[in-house]
Amino acid sequence: MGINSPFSSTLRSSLIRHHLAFPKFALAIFAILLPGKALMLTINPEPSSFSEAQGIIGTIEGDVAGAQCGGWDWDKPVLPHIAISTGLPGRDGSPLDHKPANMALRVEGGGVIDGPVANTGFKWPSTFGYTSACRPGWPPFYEAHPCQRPAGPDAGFIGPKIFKPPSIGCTFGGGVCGPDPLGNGVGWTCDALCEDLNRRWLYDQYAVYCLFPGPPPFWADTGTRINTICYDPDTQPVPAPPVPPPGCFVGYLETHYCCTNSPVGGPFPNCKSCSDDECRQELPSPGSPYKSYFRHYFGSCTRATVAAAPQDDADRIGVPVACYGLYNEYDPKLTVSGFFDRHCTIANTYPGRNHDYVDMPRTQVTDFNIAEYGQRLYGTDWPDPPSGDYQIVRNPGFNSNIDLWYPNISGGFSLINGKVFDDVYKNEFTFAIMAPDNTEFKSYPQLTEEQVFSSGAYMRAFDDTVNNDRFGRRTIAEWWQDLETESNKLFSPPHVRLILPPSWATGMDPLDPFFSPDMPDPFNPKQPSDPRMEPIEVQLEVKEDLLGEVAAYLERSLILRLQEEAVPVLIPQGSATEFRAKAQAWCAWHIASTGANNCENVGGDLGDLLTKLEAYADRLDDVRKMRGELARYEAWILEDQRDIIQTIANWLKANIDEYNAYQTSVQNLQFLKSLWQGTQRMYRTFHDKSNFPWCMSQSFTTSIYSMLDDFFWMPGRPDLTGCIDGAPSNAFNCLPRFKTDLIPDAVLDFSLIRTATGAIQLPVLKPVQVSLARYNLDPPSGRKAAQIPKLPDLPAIPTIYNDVINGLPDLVIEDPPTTIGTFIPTAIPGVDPNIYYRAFGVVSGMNSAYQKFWDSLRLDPAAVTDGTEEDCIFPDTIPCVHVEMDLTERFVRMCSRPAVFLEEDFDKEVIGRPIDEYIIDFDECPGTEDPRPQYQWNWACQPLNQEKYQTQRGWGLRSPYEKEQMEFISEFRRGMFEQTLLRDGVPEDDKLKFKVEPNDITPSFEAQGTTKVIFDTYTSSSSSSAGP
Amino acid sequence: MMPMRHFIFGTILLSLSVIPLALHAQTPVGADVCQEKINQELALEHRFFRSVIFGQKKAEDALVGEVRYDFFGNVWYKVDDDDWRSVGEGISPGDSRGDTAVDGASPIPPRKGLLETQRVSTSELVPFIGQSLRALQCRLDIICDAVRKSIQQTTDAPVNIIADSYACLEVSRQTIPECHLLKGATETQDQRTAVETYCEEIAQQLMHQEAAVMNMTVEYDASYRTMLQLAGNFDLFLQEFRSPIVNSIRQMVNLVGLFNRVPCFLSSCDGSPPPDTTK
Repeated sequence: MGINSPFSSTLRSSLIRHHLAFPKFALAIFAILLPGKALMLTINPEPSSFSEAQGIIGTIEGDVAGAQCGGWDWDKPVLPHIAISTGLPGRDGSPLDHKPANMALRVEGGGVIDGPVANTGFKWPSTFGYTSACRPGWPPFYEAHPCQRPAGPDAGFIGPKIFKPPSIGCTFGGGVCGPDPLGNGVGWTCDALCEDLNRRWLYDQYAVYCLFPGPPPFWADTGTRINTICYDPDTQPVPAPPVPPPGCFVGYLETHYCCTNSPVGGPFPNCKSCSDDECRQELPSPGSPYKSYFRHYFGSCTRATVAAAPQDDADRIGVPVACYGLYNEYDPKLTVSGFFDRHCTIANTYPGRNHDYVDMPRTQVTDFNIAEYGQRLYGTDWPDPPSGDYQIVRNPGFNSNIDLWYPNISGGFSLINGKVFDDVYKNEFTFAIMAPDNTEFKSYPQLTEEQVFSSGAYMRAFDDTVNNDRFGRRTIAEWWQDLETESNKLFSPPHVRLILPPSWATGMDPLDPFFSPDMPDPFNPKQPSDPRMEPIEVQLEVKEDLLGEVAAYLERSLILRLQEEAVPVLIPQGSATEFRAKAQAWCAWHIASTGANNCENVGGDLGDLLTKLEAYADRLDDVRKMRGELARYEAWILEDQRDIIQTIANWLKANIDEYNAYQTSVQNLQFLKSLWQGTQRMYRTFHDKSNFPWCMSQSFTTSIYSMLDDFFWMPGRPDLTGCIDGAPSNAFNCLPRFKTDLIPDAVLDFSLIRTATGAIQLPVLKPVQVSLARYNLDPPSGRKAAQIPKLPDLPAIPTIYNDVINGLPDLVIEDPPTTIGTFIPTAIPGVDPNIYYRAFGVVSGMNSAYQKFWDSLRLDPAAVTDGTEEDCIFPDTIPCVHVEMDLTERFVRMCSRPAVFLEEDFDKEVIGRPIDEYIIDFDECPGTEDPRPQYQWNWACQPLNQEKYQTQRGWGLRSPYEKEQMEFISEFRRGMFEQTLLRDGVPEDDKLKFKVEPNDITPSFEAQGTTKVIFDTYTSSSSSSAGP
Repeated sequence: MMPMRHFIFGTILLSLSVIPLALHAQTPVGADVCQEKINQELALEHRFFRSVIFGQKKAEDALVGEVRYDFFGNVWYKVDDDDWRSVGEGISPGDSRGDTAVDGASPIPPRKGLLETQRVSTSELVPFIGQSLRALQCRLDIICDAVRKSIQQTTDAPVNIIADSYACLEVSRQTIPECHLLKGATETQDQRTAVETYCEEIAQQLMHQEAAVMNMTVEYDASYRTMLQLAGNFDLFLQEFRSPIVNSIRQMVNLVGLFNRVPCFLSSCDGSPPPDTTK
């Protein structure tokens, strides 16, 4: 249903060969565009045996024949080619009155005038059969499926009359009446059953005679009748006469038929043959009314042959149809057909009658000399593309001696004219670049009836749920399209697409491994995969651990950049040994001058001097402590860096956790996907094989509602809506449906990532070591009086680390970028697997039903034993699978026309409105011709995932403004200058005396400003920057 | 990248720091003070030459930490905006000068250096650099000529003289009183010789040093300007091509990503793989 399709293979070949995009006629046609292996016709080029070679030849013939399907014959009306069925019960259709559904409008008026389906269009044909007042189970040998073959020789059939043991009727057949007299499953022909019913289901009737007092007393018939029980003379003894009342006796009167209570030999036997209307009417009898248990028809279907299929096998005349079982009159649309209702055999396998369909794959092919298949544009004289006429000659005036380019080679590109390039341009490629060729594109024409270019027209799908009450609706087709739509959404989980910064962007390291993906390992190559199934990211070599790489890249890129800024500091330089030597010299002078023994307890200026000299010797090296300054505040910087990395790590972890959860849910989808794949595979089997036994078009045929009940695949029967207009449901009486949301693709835009711009300027003490003035510290020789020099205290060791730490820019980590959790859900929506289980059940049952239908008609007469053509060993078993109430419709379907599109196939109501608009919103489906969702109406809508951007978020490192940093550094420079050299406010005597004048030390404190390499101009005219 | 200018200035200033440059307002005479005066005059020429080559910013544009010299050889250190301090002789640490005063007291006016000339190649600057070197040489020679002529003076006051050198313009100037060695007739021939040869020797060394520095500077500047030129052009290239080409490629990648989603014909969109055989 849904997509029955007339012409798969042919259009496949023609469309592909000729590059014509035929409008979307029907979903059926889509199926023929299977890619890859589906289009490959595979044979074994080296058969190992002759029989295998023969088989391959057959395969090739089948492939060739299968390719000859389709085409169109624009001017031929459809109506003559929709078969008319006669000789069978059922309803006719009005083929062209239900075009929007692509089916016939069932005639639901007129027909039989009595019975349960009176005046509903049900027609009763000429027939004959057997009718009985008995009912299955009474007599016991009368079963629910009473007989397996129409009749024996007495009724004009070929085979013998077959009795079921222990009927003594076996003798009539002349054979042994075993459990299966013929060994082929048939236990009872219908005429033998009738005979048995009349012979074996009787009772005896006795009259009661009593003595009347008289006078004179006499025995007289009291008028009372006593019957024996019904008995089977073949298996039971004749019942004993009944016990008379006291004083009476009984006398045998006559034998009666049990079911009609009428005397044997009278007009009301238990069973009798019927004809025409007798076989559908319940004829009265003295007992139970008659009801036929077997009917026999000669059905015919006939239509005009399709000219484009010269061998079109267009009709079947007088095909015997045998229906077994009690006649049950009902409307299959309104009543569910049960197991015992599929009890008719369409006997198209009689030898010599040519009723079979064995040759249909060969005969129903299209002659493409007659039918069009795109070889020329309808209504025009345009030739078959590809044709030279469609080659774009862009420059008819091309001169090979002048023009640089050959513009006319294939319409799409040009080659350079070597002659001109050599002679005129002297092979200077620059000229070729400066004088490029231009090009233009032109599409091939495409065919529709009214539009020369395809705009997406389509043909509505075939569907047996089409009915007059819901005009234009096709339950199964719409349900399937809805399921395709929602499944497409379900199995289109969002992709994560990264937009990365170009490697050359400012601050990027082009050698970062992030921009240099791993080289493929030749010894461990990647597993080949179907590129169609791969997300585009894989094709771009973006792997699953992409986020990890991004994070690592960020960590590498966002390391704080430090720029050293020298802070000169004046450091006194001297030798501890020298100061101690001078102290010793002054001590010696003291001893010599005063006669003291030592310099202990020396006070006064000399004592101060000795103490200071010792202190200088001891403390001069303390300046080395300044080495520790840098480490102290660099530790703070590292802590800031740690905070940065930690934040990135946290962000990464959040991403990974969310992504893992998401991936897990995607993995879980695989199970559902496998269910869905199985359902789709089954649907294709149905569409391409089961319901497409040969090249045929079932359009405009009448719905066969009983097909919906085989295997009970259609939920909610006899309802035909499947609840598809209600909310999605998995209720048992509804077609399983669900609704899900299409989650947008996530686009993480990292293209604006910027690494650190500028740097953190870090003050670094730069000692300017100047020797202390030591030449004034020597004592006089001998005992000369001396002016004791006064040494100032050594100043404290300058320290800046506290101030640096306090003054370093604070690390402000702003809100981290959003994680992928804001783009994609932690877990994508799932669906109850039971929905897919049930969908598979529906499609599988549908496939089986149609498979059974067509298989019963494709039997090879050669494989059918003569005499068994009309057998019905069991109901609902091939060939006995047809429902009696819609035999007419089945014959119409059986005689479907070849798959050549005819005039009305292109009718607007059938093709539908072309979709000539495109939708900006990705999650909507186009079309406004019906208020219902469009995808439920005409096609499966497969929208694109939206893309969700969140731009301009990411990581970046923003250093403090340079001016602020320079002020920060200047503070230290100023401080060190004032503290160690200027020493404003310090008495002159307390200042250290250096070997050179302070004025000469000052230049060593100079800190040059930085040189701007790139100027802050709109365009980067670096070349004009200052020199070094 | 440490600009070359930093390197050169740092080196020179450190080397000068060991040269006694103290200026004396009065005129004690003697070989020592004469040599010190010679140092001062040569150092001034040296700074002047450097300012010609590398330029000298106005005091108000100088950063904290930069230094300037006044006419008397005092070094002024910028400690803040419009605030300069000096530890020169006779200057109190608390004395402050503003930017204008520093500029006004500087014997070297603010100017733009030859190497600060933009949009030219180094080759175009070489003649001017060479001419500046030649000027330096003349000015150094003239100082030494003035020294020679000063030695012969006997007065306390400076004497107007014409100092000259071969192939250089003559300069009218005054003698250097600190070098008036004949004034007290106490000098020895050794002292005279020491003063005369000192000036020439120091001047020659300074010339050789500056010539070498200029040699290195020109090489550096040439390579630097070449690199900047290339970088600038490449930068321009990227700026110009980023939008039309790179953006197009990125959009194409994005579009290709979308293609992955484009619905195809129904059957080929089936999740189920196509059957293995057509039969």
